[in-house]
This record gives sequence, C-alpha cells and structure tokens, in this order.
Amino acid sequence: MMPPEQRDLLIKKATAFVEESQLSPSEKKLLEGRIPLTPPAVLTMFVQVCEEDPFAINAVLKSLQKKLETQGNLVRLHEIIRQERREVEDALVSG
Amino acid sequence: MEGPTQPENTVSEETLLPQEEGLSMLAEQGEEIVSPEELATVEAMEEDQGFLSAQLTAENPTARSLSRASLLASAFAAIEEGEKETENRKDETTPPTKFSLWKKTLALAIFGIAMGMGTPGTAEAGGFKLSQVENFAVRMAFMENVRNRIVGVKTDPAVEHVRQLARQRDEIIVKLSEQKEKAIELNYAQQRTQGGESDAPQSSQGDHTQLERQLKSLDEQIALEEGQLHQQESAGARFIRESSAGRHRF
Repeated sequence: MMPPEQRDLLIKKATAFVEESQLSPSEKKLLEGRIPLTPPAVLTMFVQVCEEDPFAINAVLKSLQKKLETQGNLVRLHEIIRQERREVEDALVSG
Repeated sequence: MEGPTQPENTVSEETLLPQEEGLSMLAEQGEEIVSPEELATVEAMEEDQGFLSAQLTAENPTARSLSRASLLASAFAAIEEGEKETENRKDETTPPTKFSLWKKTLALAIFGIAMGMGTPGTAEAGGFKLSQVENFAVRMAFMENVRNRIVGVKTDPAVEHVRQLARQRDEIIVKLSEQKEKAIELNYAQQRTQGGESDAPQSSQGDHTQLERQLKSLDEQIALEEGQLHQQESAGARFIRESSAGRHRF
C-alpha cells in the first residue's frame, strides 16, 4: 500500500504533465478529472509513460476519446482494442 | 469454476489471482447476466488486452508506447463507466441492471489488467491482486454489488450496522404511531362515556415512554455511526458523489 504522501506526490506529477501539455482545456479536463480516482499502479505507469515520451499523453488521450465515444458499447469498444492490437503487431513486425 | 475461498469481509493482501483464472472468474460471473454474444465479445476483448499487456515491456519502443497508451486509456475509460452508473443510479439501494453490472465487471477486468501489469511483482506473475480490484471497487463507490459477486465480500459491517439500526428505528416509529392511534381512540371513547376525564391506560403510557426513549437512543447512535462512516469515506467516493450532483464535470 502506497503511503498517502507518496500518492499525493504522484497525483501532483501526473496533473503537472497534463497541465504542461499542449492539450486543449477540455482535453485536459478529461484527464485531470480522472487522476484523483486512479489507483497508484496506473498513475505510476502514466507518469512513467509521460516521462519517457513527450507525445505519450496525446496517444493516451486519443485512445481514451475513442473509447468514451463507444458509450459502453462492448462491440465498438472491442473493435477499437482490436485495432490497437493490430497497430502494436505491425510495430513489432516492422521492428 | 470455483472462486478462491475468502473469509467474510476480508481480502488478503497476499491473495494473488493469476490473470487467466481471474478473468475466467469474471467471465463466469458475467455468464449469469449477459447473453452468449456479449460474453464472446468480452472473451475476445480479454484476449486482445492480454496481448497488449504482454507488450508493456516490449523492446520495440513503438509497440511499448502503443500498448501502454491503450491500456492506460482503458483504465481511464473504466472510470467513466463508474461515473455514468452513479449518475444513473440516483438511489444507492437501486440494484444495477444486469447489463450495466456486466459492463462494470468488464471495466474492472480492464482496470485489473492495467493495474497488474503496472505493478512489477504482479506483472511477472501475469496477474493482479484481488485486494487491488477490491480497492478499485471501493474507490468507485458504486461497486458494492459487483464487489460482493467477485470477491465474496459482504457489505461493509459498519454500513450494515447503521442499516440495521435504521430498520429498528422504523419498527419503533410504527409501534409508536400505532400506540398513539390506540390512545386517541381510547380517549375518544372514554370522553364519550365518562365525560372526558380519562387518558390512555397506565401500561400503554409506560410502553410509550419506553419506546420513545429507545427511539431517542437509536437516533443518537445512528447519527454517531453515520458521522463516523462519513469521515471514513474515501476522496474518490466523495468525488463520485459530487460529480453526480454536478459539482465536478469532466
């Protein structure tokens, strides 16, 4: 279990990445509102991803927006995830 | 398939559920409440997510970034499901519909994978901890029903105790109002026959006083325990409740 002060620090870091990004105010809101509800393991990964790649936040947001557009429709949600899998497979093949 | 045996109201921190077994268990829970087509979609989706999870540490930087972005987005999207459900369910006692329940179970699975893969110890085992899943359920505030189904944990005993006290209180209020009605009827009858000197019988008055005392004491106890519960509420639960009241929008 992560100590509260460490979690707070993680939330601050994640929020800072969102605030300092080039996203629009509404896009930032989409991520910021979710950060306090995200468990430490996911937040840690989010911070790592943002630290490693300055454009990673855009990729997360793009995928999130697509998934939210499905409004919980399982078939449409699956189509998106399947497409994302194909993109990863292509990247692996191309090396 | 039998789920792991858990003592009531406890989930061991050390209980590690292999991913495959965990997802099968979730699927089995879903089997009771969704159509075969929906279940097939979910199973296929789990397979794709399993593939993405396996690429979280891929050497290829593009594949690694894409898979991380996909799973993180799924985790963030799962939070959306929770908020919508809270908004739809105005009353906490209203059970979720079968379909929405399964969607939340799915959201939980997505989240579980992302969490498991994001934690070094569990990533190696390719699974996730039940306690983490339960923590998510608690955090989302609305998940009590799903939480019970998945980990076999019953309602929080503190919450259940307050509910029990409230039920006792309701019973006493009913008794009191019955007694009042009886006393009024009796008084009216006596007034008609004896010129209005009498009141309710002594024994009835004694019962009435005792019931009122019990009611007062229960009211105090409920207020105290509800106050304690309120203090224990997580920031996430408050956020969700406030979101449904329109104070937060995202």
